[in-house]
Amino acid sequence: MDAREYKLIFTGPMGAGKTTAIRAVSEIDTISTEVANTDRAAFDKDTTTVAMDYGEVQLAGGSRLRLYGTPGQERFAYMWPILAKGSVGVIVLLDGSRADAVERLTLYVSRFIEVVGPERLVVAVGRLDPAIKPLAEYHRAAQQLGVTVPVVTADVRQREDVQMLLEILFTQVEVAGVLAELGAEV
Amino acid sequence: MNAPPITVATLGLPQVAESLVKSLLNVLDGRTSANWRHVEGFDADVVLCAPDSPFGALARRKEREHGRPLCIAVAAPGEAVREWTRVLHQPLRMHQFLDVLETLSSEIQSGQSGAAPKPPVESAAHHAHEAAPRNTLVAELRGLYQAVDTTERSYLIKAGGVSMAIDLPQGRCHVKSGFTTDTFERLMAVRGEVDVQPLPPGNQRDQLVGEPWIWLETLLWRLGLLGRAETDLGSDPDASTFGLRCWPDFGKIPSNPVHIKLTALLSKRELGIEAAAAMLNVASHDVRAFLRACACCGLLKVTALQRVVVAVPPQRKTGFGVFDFLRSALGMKA
Repeated sequence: MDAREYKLIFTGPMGAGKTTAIRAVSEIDTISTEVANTDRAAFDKDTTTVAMDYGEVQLAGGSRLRLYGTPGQERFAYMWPILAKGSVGVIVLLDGSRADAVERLTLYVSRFIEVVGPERLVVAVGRLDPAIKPLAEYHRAAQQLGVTVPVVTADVRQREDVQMLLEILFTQVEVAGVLAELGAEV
Repeated sequence: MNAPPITVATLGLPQVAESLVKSLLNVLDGRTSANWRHVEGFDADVVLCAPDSPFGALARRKEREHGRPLCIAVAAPGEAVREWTRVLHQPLRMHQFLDVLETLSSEIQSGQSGAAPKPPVESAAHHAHEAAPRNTLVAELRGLYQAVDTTERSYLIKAGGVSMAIDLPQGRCHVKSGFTTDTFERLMAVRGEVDVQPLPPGNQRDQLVGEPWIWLETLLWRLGLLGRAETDLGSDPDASTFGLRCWPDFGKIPSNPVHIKLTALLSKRELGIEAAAAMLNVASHDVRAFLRACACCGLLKVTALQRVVVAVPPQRKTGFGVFDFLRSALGMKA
């Protein structure tokens, strides 16, 4: 079997946990381009990613899964399609404690769906605060885009939660393939 | 008119609809038998709500508990409003709006001469799936689950020798002794009606701190998986197709590759039990259990077919190639 390379994208606004999620599954020390955060108005954290995060998982036969985290600031949005093109899929991470999390879902899903399609997207909401926005609001926002994408809560500090997101992503792609293959048979 | 005005509020409506309601009230000022005034919030006599908004659920709960506010669904074209007794359909028309105002003012005026009847303890099953008998454990839990995010109240359920405190603001279910296999077995053995009481104010959250808990939807999911009755799957599950309204929250519900597969399939296409089982090469009893769990959590769409025959696609081989390869490398179960 020839060595192949696969890539997986973690995206979402600043502070949503992209760097953390990549660290949870990467086999190598992640490479981060974090600098001091000068955009405290957008999110109050010490550092933010300005180019991308990078992690890696070695596969059998010399193949590799490359894990990329997009920069959190939306002025770098021009990089999103470049990174996502040809990827296995995209995991959108949102911070559910922020009042604008549902609007961010709309932004990220609508942008990435154009590149990878709905079956290669998963939305994970961390730190969900139902008093700010219940999960149903996120589902509704996704449905208003005319697509059914998985929207689940997750704590990406936990490796099992990141694995769960990956399982959802992989399964979605597999099942979409089955449905396409069977076509009108069902 | 000497009578005080009847107050009306709008909750969760799109801005356009809300503006239209205010305009209609202005236009109809002086033309109705009662005096109507628009106010903000839940303390109105009447509220107009988006049918599926959390505000609507909360307002309806208040209506059932206190007889006020009177709730009206403002439904978009094609929107399901089966559970609502008072409905205004969009686009709002003045004559329809006027009729509703007049009917409501009669109701309110007659209610003022005699107390509105209401049950002493609310049945939490009010919102439950039509197929579920009222007041059963699952129906009560489901009714409470649908009120999560919309109410600050908490409830105590006693069933099968298990005493559970339902912390609705957090969506959690507490049992002092913890959730063991025995707890679930006892709950599964519960038949008939169960006792649901609101916890007294001031005595709610503090007492639950430190007690073992699980998410309410996890409890419902487990009860669905373990259950036997298929009443939630329609009158004839083998002559029905099933789809999902949205994904279960696998961040709260313990995920399982079979359930994720079934979710990925049935959120894209409605299928019969045997068709779904064959397509994914899973056992049909696993599909049934999954569907019961989805029904318990209010995620299931059931469509009865005209005929019993359900198309069954060819059996698929297990394994999907590259993704099993990735799962293995990431330490995930294939």
